[in-house]
Amino acid sequence: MRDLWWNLSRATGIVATVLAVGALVWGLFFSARNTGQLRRPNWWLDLHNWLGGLALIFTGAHLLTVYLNDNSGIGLVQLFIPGTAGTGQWGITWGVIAAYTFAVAVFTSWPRKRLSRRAWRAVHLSSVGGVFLAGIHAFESGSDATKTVFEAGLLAATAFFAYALSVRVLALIARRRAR
Amino acid sequence: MTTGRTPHQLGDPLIGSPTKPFPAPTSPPTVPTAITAITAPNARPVPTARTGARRKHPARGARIGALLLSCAATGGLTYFFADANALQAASKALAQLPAPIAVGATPAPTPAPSSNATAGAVTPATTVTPATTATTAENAAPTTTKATKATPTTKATATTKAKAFNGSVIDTKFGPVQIQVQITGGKISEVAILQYPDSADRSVQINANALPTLRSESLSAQSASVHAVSGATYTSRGYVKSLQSAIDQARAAGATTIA
Repeated sequence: MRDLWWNLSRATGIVATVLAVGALVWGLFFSARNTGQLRRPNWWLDLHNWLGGLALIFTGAHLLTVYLNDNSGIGLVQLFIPGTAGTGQWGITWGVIAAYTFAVAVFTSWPRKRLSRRAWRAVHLSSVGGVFLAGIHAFESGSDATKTVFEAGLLAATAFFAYALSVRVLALIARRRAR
Repeated sequence: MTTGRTPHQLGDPLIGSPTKPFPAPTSPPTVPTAITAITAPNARPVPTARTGARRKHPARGARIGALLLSCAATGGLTYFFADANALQAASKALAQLPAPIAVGATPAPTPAPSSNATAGAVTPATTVTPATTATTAENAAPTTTKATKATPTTKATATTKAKAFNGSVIDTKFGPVQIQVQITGGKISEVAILQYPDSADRSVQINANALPTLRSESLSAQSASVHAVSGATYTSRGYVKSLQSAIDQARAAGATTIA
């Protein structure tokens, strides 16, 4: 049973990271108006919202399975308070902060109309840093970080993210020039 | 010929009673669109609600796909990790088997079955003298008193000599099997695995269960007459044949009388 929780925590962590990268990329493409002709923009926005929510759900599952794994040595305090983990402190700290940024990005999207656009935007864009921290957390604390497949996956996700970010930045520059 | 009765008096169901008129239709009669177009060509088409234009979740299909894919990925990864853990445990179990002794060298003390100390990994056959009946039959290794005192669990004694005999290499469907038998005082004191099918992960997992069982059975039976382990039929057959050939060599060398 201990192995099951451990294996599940590894699997949910990887899936949550992939979903977070997917949500981020979808959001960047949507905000860059680079959604193509095949699908409407609201389709992209809907999927972006869904991927973000799923990433948060799988992050929750990751936290739960880590907690249920007796061998991990991580309790509620280490799960929710950054910097309290003994072994591999920094890696776990980045993971806790990333989980918080995901939660904030998702939960502030629901009452979006009640927030000012600037405030919501600042909060929402913090999830970009959250995804970055999640990647570092996976690399530092992940049991599979040294495996070639994992490294290749992380590299592919980084490349995908960099491409989407460059599209977004170029669109921003083009829009400002048009003004 | 008339009967002088009204139609409803005749009981015609298609004609209503004069006191009870036909019920009014519940919905206006529908006219097919084509007929409407023919009869009123200049009429403006009535706008109809576009289904799916203002759906709450436009990416519903993609949502379901992402959810299913995520769950499948989680399950698949969990299974993969469990399988990798089992393989790791199997390799560890195989590494705890007694190491074969080099032909002509002093045998290593036999570890207790419950000991956690590893006796060394099972060496592949390439590092051991190739098993041919002619070359291995006469090889023997004396046991020293020092080795016996160092580990009380060893089966070799100071007064007896342990002789090692390598069995034939038996090719099975999944790989070669080769067994080394060590004879001390005419009895089988140890059985070591020189080669076993390990090219596939599944083979390693199977043999991690089968080989210790076969070894302990042959030690207790003091012969090659051991039952095949379920799920490891090919390895079991190879084990029995290789062990029998090693025993035959020992008997031919006069080290034992075991048949």
